[in-house]
Amino acid sequence: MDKKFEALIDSAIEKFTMVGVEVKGVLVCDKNGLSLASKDVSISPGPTARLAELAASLSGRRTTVCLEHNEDQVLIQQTDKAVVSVYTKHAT
Amino acid sequence: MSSLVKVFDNVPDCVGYLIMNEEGSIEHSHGDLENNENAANLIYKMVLCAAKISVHPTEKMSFKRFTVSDDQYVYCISCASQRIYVAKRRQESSANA
Repeated sequence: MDKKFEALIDSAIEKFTMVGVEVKGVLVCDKNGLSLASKDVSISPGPTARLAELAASLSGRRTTVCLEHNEDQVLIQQTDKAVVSVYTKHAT
Repeated sequence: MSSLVKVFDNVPDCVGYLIMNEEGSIEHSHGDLENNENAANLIYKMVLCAAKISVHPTEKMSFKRFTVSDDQYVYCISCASQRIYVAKRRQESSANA
């Protein structure tokens, strides 16, 4: 199970790298905010799942939340079963 | 007070904006977000949530601004001087279609 997650995370990172965006870490958690898999992330997911859920109810469609601070950003998206957070460097 | 509202004049493709205070009460609203208490409540809850999420994978760093985007609109949210500023903008792709 872990290996499958790792393979998925690696392929996602590769897709980002192909378009020139540097990925610093990926975190996958379930809808309750409990961590399922992570790569190079030491922060716990906490309110990430709640934020993704609120964003989905704001819009009614699939949404992506992007939190930014100078050059750092995290992209959060809710899929059917999990919430994925990707930590990247802001593409300027 | 009207000087606060002027910040949204130069936002391109803006279909609505909202200014709230730090307790979530609406101070100004316009366009799609005018009198939209549901959206305001959701956005306020999101700001409280987002404030606890770190932007960096290893260090604790909170956001300066955040956006919520779907295929049609983008909500751009930022905080300054004990106020929450929200701009709802049309996505580029839907404007060109």
